[in-house]
Amino acid sequence: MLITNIESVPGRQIVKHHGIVSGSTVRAKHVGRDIMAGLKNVFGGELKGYTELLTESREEAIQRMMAQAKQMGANAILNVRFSTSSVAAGAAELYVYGTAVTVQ
Amino acid sequence: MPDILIFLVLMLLGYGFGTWAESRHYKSIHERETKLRKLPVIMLKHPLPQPGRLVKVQLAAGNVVISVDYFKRFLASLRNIFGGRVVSYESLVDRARREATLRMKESCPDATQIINVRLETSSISKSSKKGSIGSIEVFAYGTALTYK
Amino acid sequence: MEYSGQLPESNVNLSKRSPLQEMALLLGGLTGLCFLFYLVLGWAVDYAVQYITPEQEQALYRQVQFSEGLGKGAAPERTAAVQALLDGMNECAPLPYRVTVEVIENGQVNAAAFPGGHILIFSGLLDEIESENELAFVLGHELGHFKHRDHLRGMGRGIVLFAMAMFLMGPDSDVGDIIFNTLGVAQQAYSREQESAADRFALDVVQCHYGHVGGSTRFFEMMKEKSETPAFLKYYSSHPADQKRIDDLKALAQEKQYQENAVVPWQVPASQTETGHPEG
Repeated sequence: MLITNIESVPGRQIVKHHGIVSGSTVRAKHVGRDIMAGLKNVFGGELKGYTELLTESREEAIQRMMAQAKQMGANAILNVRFSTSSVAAGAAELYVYGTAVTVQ
Repeated sequence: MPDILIFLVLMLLGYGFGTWAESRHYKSIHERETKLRKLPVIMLKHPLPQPGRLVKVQLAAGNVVISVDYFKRFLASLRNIFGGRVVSYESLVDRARREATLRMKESCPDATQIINVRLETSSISKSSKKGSIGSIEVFAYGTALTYK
Repeated sequence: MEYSGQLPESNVNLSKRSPLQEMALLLGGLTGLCFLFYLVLGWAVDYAVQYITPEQEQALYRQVQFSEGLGKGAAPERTAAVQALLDGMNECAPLPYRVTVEVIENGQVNAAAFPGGHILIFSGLLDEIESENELAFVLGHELGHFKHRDHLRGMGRGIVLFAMAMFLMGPDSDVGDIIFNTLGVAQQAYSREQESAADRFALDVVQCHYGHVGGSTRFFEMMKEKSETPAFLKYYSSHPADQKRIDDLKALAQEKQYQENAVVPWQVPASQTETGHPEG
């Protein structure tokens, strides 16, 4: 499954168009990460726990989007965009969306 | 009295460690930027003309979450009274942006160019104090094209 | 198309000002501002207090219930004796309302003035004093607080302080707490001034009531021997140091040419046992 954030795949032709596909996850941090974050808020520096958390969440969201595109019979997703929003205290929703197409 | 002592200790720790971590980070950023400067990263939607054939199209992404130290946050809350440029947060966003871009480049080491790069910033604030920014996340993503 | 991968020379996104410089600038500005506010609003409170009548003051205190009768309970006989002394002093310390006193069987060596004209004397203090004059001085000191309306001023300043910190920073903020705590030290200095003024008032009352000031400083001399507060805590203390109070009183007595004559011994009705018979 090809994923890009541009509107076409250079060198390939779009032959079929399947509409919008998206994937989202809602993830919460756990207390351990919170404590580290509290410490880091004094000392400064990178919050590796949070970085990992968000990376994994995005990965999962992308996987879900790809699964949905596959169900629709597409083999590429174009014009992918990301969006993050906090839905509850300590939890964030990661949302990926794009246009599913078949290219050859 | 003990409150003031704790405050001063936190400030000192924050200033000391924060400044050290920041200078270390900047050194690492500069090093990697110099190493990776051959890989163009552009915000255009169309690729730069390249010799060769396009072999791979891939989504490149990199993200980082960085927090400020206590000293800088206190400075920012003082700034809230008088208004003006919040100098202490400038380095935070700068570092985070550059780090995220570097990680995006590093996610596709054999790419020839990365186009349509977007940067998304969101704040991850400490839940107890409303309105004070604890840390920010910068997420950089783009399409990596590999030519052979 | 040629791509020049040249990195920029300097970082345009960072200001030249170092964080320490920034800190000095902002803190300086903030302290100046706070100092100004505190002074101005402090004067405003002192000015406003003049216009609050004693009736209004009493009504205000009724709104805020102060707990009394701390400890094992009042001692009626001793209370009556001290109240008699207090009433006798009324000529020398006229107040627009009657001041009541209560002796609490607690063992502590302390006395306190509560808003609304109530004095609490702890039994430990009565056990420590040797003369009626000492007790009169202590009562005079508490009367001084009422006369100068210290409770009202203290309350007003406290409210002003709190409101200022809240207004500047909003509730639950680091900076607000810091400001509040630091200005708390200034509050203590103000409180010490109030205490010295009450001491001076007490000296005059004792002079008026007995015709001399013998025994006035004995209480502080006794307290001084009992405890030694380390010097560095003196800025955090709401009362001046005992030695300083003694020195100030002696200086004042000399200046006003008050004499020290023989004191009247204090006939303490001894503390009652459970059977109700006085001991000794």
